[in-house]
Amino acid sequence: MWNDVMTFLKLEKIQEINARYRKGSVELRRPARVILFMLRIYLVIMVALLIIKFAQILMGRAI
Amino acid sequence: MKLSARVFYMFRRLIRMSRMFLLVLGPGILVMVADNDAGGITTYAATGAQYRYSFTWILLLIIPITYFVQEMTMRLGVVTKRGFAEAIFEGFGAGWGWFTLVTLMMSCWLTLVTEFIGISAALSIFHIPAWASVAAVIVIMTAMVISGRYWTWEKIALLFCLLNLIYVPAAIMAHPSVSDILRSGAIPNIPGGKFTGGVLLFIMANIGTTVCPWMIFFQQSAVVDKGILQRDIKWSRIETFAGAVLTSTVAIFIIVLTGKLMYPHAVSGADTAARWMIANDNPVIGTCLAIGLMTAGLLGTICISLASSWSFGEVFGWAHSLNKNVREAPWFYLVYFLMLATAGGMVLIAKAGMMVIIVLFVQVVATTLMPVCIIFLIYLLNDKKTAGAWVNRPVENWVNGINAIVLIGLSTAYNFLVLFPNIMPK
Repeated sequence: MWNDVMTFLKLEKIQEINARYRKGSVELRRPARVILFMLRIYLVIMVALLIIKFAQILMGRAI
Repeated sequence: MKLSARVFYMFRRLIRMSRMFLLVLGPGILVMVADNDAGGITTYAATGAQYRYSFTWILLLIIPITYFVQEMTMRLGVVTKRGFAEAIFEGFGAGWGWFTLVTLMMSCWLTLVTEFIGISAALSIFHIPAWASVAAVIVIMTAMVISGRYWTWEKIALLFCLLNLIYVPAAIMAHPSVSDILRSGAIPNIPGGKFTGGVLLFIMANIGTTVCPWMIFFQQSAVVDKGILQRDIKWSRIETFAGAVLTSTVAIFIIVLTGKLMYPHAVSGADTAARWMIANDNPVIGTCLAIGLMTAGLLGTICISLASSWSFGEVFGWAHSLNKNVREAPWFYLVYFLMLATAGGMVLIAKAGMMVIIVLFVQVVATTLMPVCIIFLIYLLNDKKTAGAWVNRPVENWVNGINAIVLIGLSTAYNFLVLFPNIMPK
């Protein structure tokens, strides 16, 4: 287990996972790619809203 | 054939079918009943107290919505023999994989904190201090998994599911009028006849938060760990559907209970409702509500902590099965224990302000991850290399597509309203 901890801390495991799953196996057609692009935009908006809300709470005020 | 012989064969067939059903019984029922966690109970209790039986019909919609999503995840798990986290890494690459894994861990941890809040609040009614509740939960959860056998863990968890049915006798004890419930709740209607901000928020809270990301990760990993085979899929479908009906039934009974006894009061939590009932000449029903809240929190804790440790183990390639003991799968149990201990510790050390932030963000983080999970689930089940003969049929794609649009739309709208309540129409 100790070896596992060191591997984890040196981020070797994460590099190994990144290399193993570099490319997804699912073949996506054009409409699927468009939906994934929209999903990215959705996630960026949601994360931005979360950050705004968090900042508001820290500054002690709400919209 | 003689009548007696026909009856004998029918009886034997029934016994064989029941045996098959009992063999696959577990992941579907567990995940569905655990969906009625501490947060869910609070939502249903508040809905009944504020709108009486008017929203009962909405809870019937939960059955198809949860069933279709969870059926897909069960099918994917049985066919691929992989958990959902690993399937996303494999199917869509490390970028999307890390995003879902990190968000899932955040979402699970935040939800665990709310489960601990629910359990502590329920047990405080019986004068048990928060530190004792948290310690007891961690000990029970550790004892449940330490046996190194999936079967043992599953049967204990199913016992907790039975306790969740306590709302049924509690609601019956309140003597609600069945004709009243059917008249005002069975037919789709909007209280007061118009869409106010409050009505919208309750609809979104009830439907938009029906499926949580951890449910998808949990059921897929559980069917893999249990070793369900492709020939059992039809039984697992029945089990998943039975779970969806059960979760909706329990939710309806909670609404009936608070609708009968508390309408038209606004309640902030299920523990507040239990205290109110105890103080207003209904000590037995109030106690049932508190026990139900505690059980709901426990069930949520069981499933959520396992969903995260299964997912972590799948991606990192560590042993991750309840059929392995602590020595064989140390990382699996470490993640499980750390999730429990840190979430429980948070409830004890955090100040009230921090808790408000956690409760606010928990649903938002979960519903942000939801669209990713549902869209990936549909894509994976349309990929022949992944799902083989069990790919979605066109009709399943239509049903699941519409289901996904409804869920994503309502959960996104719910997110906006929770984050910025002042934009809500009055």
